[in-house]
Amino acid sequence: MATWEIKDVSKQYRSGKVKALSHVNLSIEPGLFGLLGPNGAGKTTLMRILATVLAADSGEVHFGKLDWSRPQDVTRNLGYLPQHFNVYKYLTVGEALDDIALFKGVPKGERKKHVELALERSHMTEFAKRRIGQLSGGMLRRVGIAQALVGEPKVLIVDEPSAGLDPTERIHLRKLLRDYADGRRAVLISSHIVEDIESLCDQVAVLNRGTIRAHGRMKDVRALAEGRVAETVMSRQEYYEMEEGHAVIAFWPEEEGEGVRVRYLLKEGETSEHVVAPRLEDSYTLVIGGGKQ
Amino acid sequence: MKERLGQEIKYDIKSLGFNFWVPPLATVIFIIITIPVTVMCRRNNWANVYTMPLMELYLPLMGALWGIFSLQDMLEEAGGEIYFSYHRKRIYWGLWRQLRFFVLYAVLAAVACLAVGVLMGQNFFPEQYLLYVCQGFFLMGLGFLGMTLFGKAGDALIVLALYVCAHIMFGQGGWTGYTTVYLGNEELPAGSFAETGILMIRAAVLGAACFIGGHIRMIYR
Repeated sequence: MATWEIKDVSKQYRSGKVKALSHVNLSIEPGLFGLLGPNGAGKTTLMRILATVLAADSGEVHFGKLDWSRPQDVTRNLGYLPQHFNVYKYLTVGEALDDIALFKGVPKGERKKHVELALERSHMTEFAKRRIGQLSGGMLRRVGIAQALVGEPKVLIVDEPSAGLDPTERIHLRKLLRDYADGRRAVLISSHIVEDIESLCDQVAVLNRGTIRAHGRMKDVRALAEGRVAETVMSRQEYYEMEEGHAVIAFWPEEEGEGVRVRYLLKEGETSEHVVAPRLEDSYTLVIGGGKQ
Repeated sequence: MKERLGQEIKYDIKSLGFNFWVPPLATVIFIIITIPVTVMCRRNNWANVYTMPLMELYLPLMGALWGIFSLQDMLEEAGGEIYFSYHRKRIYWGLWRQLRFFVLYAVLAAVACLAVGVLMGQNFFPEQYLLYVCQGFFLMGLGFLGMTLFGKAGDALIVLALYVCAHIMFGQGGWTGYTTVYLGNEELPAGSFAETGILMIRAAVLGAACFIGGHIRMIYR
């Protein structure tokens, strides 16, 4: 089965002094792939390059026979949902999706079927006749997901897909993306919500300051923080003292008593009797340099 | 292919919302206003010095409005970049769609020329009509260039307004002479082809330059 290969991709904006992306290498197998990184890490730049919206300065991208140096071959097989999504606001949802099916080159006889399927998948069938400009933020996001799925693309790129969705729709979206990938298609998801990526993706990469800091299967990336995560209950005073030298992942007050339960990263070489199994959030914090030394 | 093109044009028009109806409405209003002006001038044996300059001023701008607003959702609104990820080249989103609206403008200009010509008892074809078409081509090009450079409909409209105001103020004789596309004739018959021809060529050349500049900007957006 084809692998999505991203080789040595770099990008520097004319206005910027630092490289937005520097020699990014990724190998993405069909399935769900999560891209994590702090603000300004280069995630959106990478996604825009993969969506053929922006050209890379150097590097190669391939997925089977699809070659990103020939964008016209790629765009027929591509679904993209940017962080901020917008289409013609005077069209109805159904018209907008039909228009997009035209742009994607869906054959005449299949357009209606593709539009109906996309509406159904995104739970927007009952709003098909509503104008885009009259939709709420969450509904517009669902239209964004629907338009990305029109034409059954082999490659799906979604940036912050669950932003603005209510909890029920977020759960539905996760199921939808998992069903869509189905081990046959490559779905790249960028999100700030680590839990979304952890619960959804089989593979993950962490991008920071334009370079890949970690990349691999979920369990392997999670294991990067093996032996480095501790969780314990301590007094507030102890917590304030500990916080000065450690990266705190989470803390919450104990239901009984004055203490707080704290999850934090141990320094390199430091040991603790409170070591726990790492989660993706722990590895992510460690990899982007949140582990104070 | 025909069905696809027809659907695309239908959605292109619908995507403009109310903005699509501004040029036809303005044309209808202009034609209605021409009636009392023509009657009044005939009754008093005056020369009608109002209709022609006004028509030359408003009509070509209408095409530019369509061109600018057809790009608004794509270039002005956050997330409009989604269009560039679809299976179409940049030339489609820029030049090709502008050309469609230019054809619509040519039809609108023909209707306006026919209607006003009948009311004034003059034939506007071919000199005056061709001049309006060329002027519209240039102003659409200027609007397209403004839109691709600044990415905002308001800014593109300011570019157009600056051009029109400068040429009203200075006319053909001023420092703007080499770039003016306005004939400024007050009465019919309009100038001969020798007079209008130079303006048509100028408008076509300037318009082509603007469209090429806008297209290059569209590629590197």
